[in-house]
Amino acid sequence: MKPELIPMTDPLDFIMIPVDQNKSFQSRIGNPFLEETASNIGKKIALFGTKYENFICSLFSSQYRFYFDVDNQYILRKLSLLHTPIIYRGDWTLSNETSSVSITKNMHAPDLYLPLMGLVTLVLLQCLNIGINNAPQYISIYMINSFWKCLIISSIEVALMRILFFLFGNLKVSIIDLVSISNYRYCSLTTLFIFNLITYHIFWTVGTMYILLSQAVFVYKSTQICIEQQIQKCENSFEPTLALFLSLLQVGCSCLIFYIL
Amino acid sequence: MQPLKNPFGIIDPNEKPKQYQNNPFDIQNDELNETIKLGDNVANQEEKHLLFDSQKSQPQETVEDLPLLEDLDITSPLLIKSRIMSVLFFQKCDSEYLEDPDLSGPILIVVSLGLLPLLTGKVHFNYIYGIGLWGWMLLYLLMNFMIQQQGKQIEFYKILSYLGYGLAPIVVLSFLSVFLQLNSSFGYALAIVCAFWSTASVSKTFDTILGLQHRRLLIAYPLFLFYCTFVIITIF
Repeated sequence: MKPELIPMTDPLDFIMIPVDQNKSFQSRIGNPFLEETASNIGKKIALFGTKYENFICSLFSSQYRFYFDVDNQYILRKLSLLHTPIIYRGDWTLSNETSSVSITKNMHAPDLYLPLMGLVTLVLLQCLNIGINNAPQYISIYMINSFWKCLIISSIEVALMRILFFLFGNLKVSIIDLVSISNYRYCSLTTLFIFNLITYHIFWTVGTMYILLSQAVFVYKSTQICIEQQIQKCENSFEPTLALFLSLLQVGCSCLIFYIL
Repeated sequence: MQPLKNPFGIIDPNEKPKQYQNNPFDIQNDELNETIKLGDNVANQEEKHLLFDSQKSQPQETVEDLPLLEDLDITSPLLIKSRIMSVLFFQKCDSEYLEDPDLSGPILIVVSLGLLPLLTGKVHFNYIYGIGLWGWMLLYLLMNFMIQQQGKQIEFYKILSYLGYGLAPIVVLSFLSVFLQLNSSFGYALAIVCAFWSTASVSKTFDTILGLQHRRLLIAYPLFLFYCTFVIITIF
């Protein structure tokens, strides 16, 4: 009597079972609900990636790139205008032909390169000054706090400027232009800081007064450009008053920043 | 009773098997009394000399053994070393680095920039990573906005790679801060040199990629400010 052959099955046989490569990924999971969820998540991720790429392409090809379209000549002319607006005898108008094309051809067109560089330079110089003189162990905290305080003050100032433009005749001015005009102060304040360091604060009062006056004149003239662009659409008799308020606001915020830093 | 034959047909242990008398890869068929020589089935007979032929002398071992990492096609350490050297010594960077930069080197540099101040009792990991991240994002926006040609962009990771490799001189400064007191005139001069060193090497890379020769100073200045931030953190 032959013994019955008991079929021997290896419990690990499933490892050696060949997988059908033609089967799709979905059918391998087994659970149709999980399959659908996984495919929906994958589609959403792919859609998000496409939207992100389109957003980035549109951002860098939008009008904002004109605010960074600067060259060496523009920077030098703008810096000279910022520091000597009182003695500038040129025309303060913004030509309609060049305003929408490129700012390098027009010195009075606003940009964002100089304000950003001015802000960072001012903060770093202040940190360096504190590190050399006072408390070097708090440099990093001071750097970050100063940067954020300056940004907050600038944003409050821009908001106030926008409100003033709204109150004085409902003038619609671009926020980016206001950010640019109001933050040119950092270049002037950086110059003042370097001047005080070189002269050991001897001419501190004279230098500060001159810089604040230059800022006020620059903002007064620059905001007149913005108002004149809008004034073609509606009559406005408050142009000088509005520009004066804005220049006083600029001086006040500069003093606040000086006090904080 | 016939003597047992082993699979190789050797009866006399001192006798060499027939199929190995000429070429070990030649196949000897005693029944048909033919020998299929190695290379007979090669389509291109010109390549026959590439196969082993016993008539020719044994090939000498002229190929040097490659290092293990190169043999396994793991070239990251060599790449990182060559790229750091190109930054430190202003060597011409290879086109592969410009087209396909890596992030392993910058990660290594940033980690060492965070670890070295630990030896002086300073813990600046959060400031280094936080300021590095913000600076990287701002520079990414600035560089891409300054490229006026539409459709031309630099990706996030490329800028991170270039900026990261540019921190190599700052790591050198950080290493020196372990042994020297940098809060002095000599330290300040050394710090300025390191900041200019980093700026010059990275601005050269950006100049090559962006092609904005007439704006080189405008690109170099924000890079200088970026590296000055790390210099200030390192010194104080």
